[in-house]
Amino acid sequence: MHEVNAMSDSNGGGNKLQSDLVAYLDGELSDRACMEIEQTLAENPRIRCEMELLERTWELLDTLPVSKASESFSQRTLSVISQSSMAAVKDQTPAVTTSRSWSIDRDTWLAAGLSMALTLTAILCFAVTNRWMPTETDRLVRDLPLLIKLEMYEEVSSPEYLNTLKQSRLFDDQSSSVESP
Amino acid sequence: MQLMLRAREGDDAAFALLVEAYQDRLVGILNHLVGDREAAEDLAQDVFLRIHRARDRYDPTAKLSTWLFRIANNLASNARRNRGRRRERQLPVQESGPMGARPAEKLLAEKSALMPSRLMARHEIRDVVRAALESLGERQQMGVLLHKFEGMSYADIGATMDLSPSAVKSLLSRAREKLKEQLANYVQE
Repeated sequence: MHEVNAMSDSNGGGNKLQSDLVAYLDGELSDRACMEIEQTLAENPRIRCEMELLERTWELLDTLPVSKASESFSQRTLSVISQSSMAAVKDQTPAVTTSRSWSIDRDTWLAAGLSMALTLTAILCFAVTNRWMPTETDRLVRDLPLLIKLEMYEEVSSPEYLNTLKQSRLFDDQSSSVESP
Repeated sequence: MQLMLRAREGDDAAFALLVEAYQDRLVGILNHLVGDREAAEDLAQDVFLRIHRARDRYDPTAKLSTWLFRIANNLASNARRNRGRRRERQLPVQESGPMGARPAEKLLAEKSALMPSRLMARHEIRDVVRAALESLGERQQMGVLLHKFEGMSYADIGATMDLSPSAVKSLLSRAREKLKEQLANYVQE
């Protein structure tokens, strides 16, 4: 409960009551605080008078003229904003170009690196396959002795007959030049 | 808020609507603060320009009006400070203070001494009220204007002026007490 003569004091209690009265008028007090103020007002005509003065003073502010923006205000404002935006874009253009050119350079470097990696991989694969994988030519070279005597082997047609001839040593002086298939 | 969200996405038409929606409120408050409509319009234009530049950073959780009046408050404060410096250089020192009595204060004193409220024409009362408002501190004035003409809560005024709600309560209490004293002759029957 507020003290009756608190308003005339310059102490904290008076200030509290003063600010609570203003907050009450402004609708910023809690329900409980409102009830306390209302009780104080009901009991104390001096506080009630004080509140009425505050209220009427506040209403005097309604006499102040309410000025409005001029008719051309929005048009002028939007024009200024538009010019400002264009100037800002212009200022940012070199930065954009630099950023873009850096982006292009980076892409170019990436593409070049990728090409080089692919080329190296291809050379490596060729070297590996060329070294370890047998080719048609390798097979022909390996089978060359057989091919040279292929006609003769076909005329004989029987490996058992050749073995019999070999065991008989009839052609020992020529055996070094004849090989079984 | 929807207009600002659309403006943030690059919708210029939405920003134009936003200017239309807030221009009178902004110019009105700024005019009270700086006391000159042309200067108020220049400041309001600056507020919209800054809002437009910073639209990408707009946080939808914050009230647009709070953001807008926060910028307005800062700009008005700077403008008044600059104007004060210019006055300090231009005006000679007088007996009533380092800068002399402000015209509005003189008006208030003269009218207060000479005329009861019931005899004063409405426009005269208006001048006295304006002088009383100008006699408040910068922050008190802003708090009063935001509460009176924008209907802002203490919390919103606090968000606009970087103050806690309890500090706003105290600020407005002092402001209204001072106004009551200044206008005592005009509210009593």
